[in-house]
Amino acid sequence: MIRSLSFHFKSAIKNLFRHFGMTLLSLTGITIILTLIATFVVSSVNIGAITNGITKNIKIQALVDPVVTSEEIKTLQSAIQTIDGVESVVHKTKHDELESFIKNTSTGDQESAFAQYRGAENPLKDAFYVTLKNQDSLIGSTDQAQKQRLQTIRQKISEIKGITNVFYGGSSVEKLIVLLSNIKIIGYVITGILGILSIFLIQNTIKSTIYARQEEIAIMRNVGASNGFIKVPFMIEGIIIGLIGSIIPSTIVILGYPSLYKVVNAVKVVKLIEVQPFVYQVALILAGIGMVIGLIGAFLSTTKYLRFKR
Amino acid sequence: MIFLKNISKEYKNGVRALNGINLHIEKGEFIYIIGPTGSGKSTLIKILDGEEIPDSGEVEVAGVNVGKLKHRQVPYYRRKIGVVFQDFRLLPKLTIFENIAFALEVVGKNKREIRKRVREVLKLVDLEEKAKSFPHELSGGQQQRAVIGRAIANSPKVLIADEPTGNLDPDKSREIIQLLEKINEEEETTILMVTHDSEIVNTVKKRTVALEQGYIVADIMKGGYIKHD
Ligand SMILES: Nc1ncnc2c1ncn2[C@@H]1O[C@H](COP(=O)(O)OP(=O)(O)OP(=O)(O)O)[C@@H](O)[C@H]1O
Ligand SMILES: [Mg+2]
Repeated sequence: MIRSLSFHFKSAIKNLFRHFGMTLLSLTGITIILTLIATFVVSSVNIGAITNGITKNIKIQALVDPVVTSEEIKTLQSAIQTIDGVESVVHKTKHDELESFIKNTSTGDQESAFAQYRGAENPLKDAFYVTLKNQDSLIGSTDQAQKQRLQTIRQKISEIKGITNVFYGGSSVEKLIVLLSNIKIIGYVITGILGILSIFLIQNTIKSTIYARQEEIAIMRNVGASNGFIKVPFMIEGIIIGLIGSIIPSTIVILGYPSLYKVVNAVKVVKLIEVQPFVYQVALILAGIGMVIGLIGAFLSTTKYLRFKR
Repeated sequence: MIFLKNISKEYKNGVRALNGINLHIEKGEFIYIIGPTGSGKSTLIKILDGEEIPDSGEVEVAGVNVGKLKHRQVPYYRRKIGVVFQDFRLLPKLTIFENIAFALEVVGKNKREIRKRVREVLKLVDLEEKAKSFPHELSGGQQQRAVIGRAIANSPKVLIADEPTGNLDPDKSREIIQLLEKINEEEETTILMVTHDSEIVNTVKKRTVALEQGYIVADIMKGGYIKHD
């Protein structure tokens, strides 16, 4: 098989040029489809990262029962710290809390009306600010799992004796996570559909190559070439079409993503994934998808053509 | 070398192309199959090369039970036999050398083996000086010799030819027959040839089997074309 690889390669390349019109048509199609797939890949991976970022930025606020003494505070703090998924716990006394509250509600040099509560009148409670560990993996944890994790941690904190209330971004954060998750799922579905579409496209290109080469195939069969052997150049042709089809989409990502990154990060609401090595990973994924699509398309059409031939 | 036992074949459209064919061909024989158009000659060839499966009966060629072959086994069986058709062309973009080498490439022979065998074959079919020519630069007779060369490249035990002289004038046809006789002698290949050409059958005498409406109506050892009214 290896021995005849150059033979297969030559005939695959010859075919590409022999049916240049058809090849060009399917190349254009694959290019468009891979560009769309690139858009979905880039956005869904970023959505995943943004979701992670949201979870990361969520601070859970746990209020402490006033009866808890300052010695017991330390044990409470370490109890929260040992909960799975907790990154850090910061303790703020009710005085700290009031000061920051006063600061937030003051306008200019006019001190807030809450200043009068300083001292023994302070109605606030001590609080812990809990930050969560970042589960940064590109595809790793799903958004549903993120949401689940958030609720579990919240639950565990509220079960600790001495904690009265637990707050966090709450249902609005959950809703956002679910929304992003749904967008991502739609992205995957559309990517899948486009993938299947492009398989059909390649299948048809290869089919026209097969028909143009019917006589050659008949001669191959006549002299005893196995179906596997006959298929190889067509599969190589499919792979090459897929690979070439990924060039423009990859270029778009490599050249375009840095600009997107700059623009979005300038707004400072969300942070996109770093340009490198992300763009090269995406380019590799696109080349891989292109080749697999080409291979499957060619395999399907040759198998269909050769199945009942003896 | 070739055994046909009670072979019948009916096509899907209801045409009974072959009816209870019994035929034994020994190793090294050279045999003609003759008969009017539609008598089942090509069908017989297709059953021998595994393209069609008989409805009943047994086909054995070079020790292979052809009727029982699975689809994927057929190519490997083809390497044991050579098949030539009247209209079977050469690949136009390959030279004569490459066309013959093609048959060896598809079965995975290495370069050195291929070169050696192609030279042998070119000598046998007397096309050594045309090795680098393209098919369109050859006469019809030369092209058919190249096709025969391709068919015997893998040194098959049996060579089956369906009207190999169909498109050729009498002189060229004679050349082809002489080539087949040479292959029959030098390569010890068993040869079965379908022909319409009474001239050949009557002059180059061989065992001749006559088909009519799917039946064997004659099997004459000394040859000679059967006259019809
Ligand atoms: N693929 C097919 N499907 C249906 N009927 C067929 C098929 N091939 C051949 N036949 C029929 O079977 C019969 C025998 O055909 P076959 O081709 O074997 O004849 P032949 O002796 O080779 O004729 P010719 O001398 O014209 O080549 C004919 O009646 C033909 O119409
Ligand atoms: Mg015929």
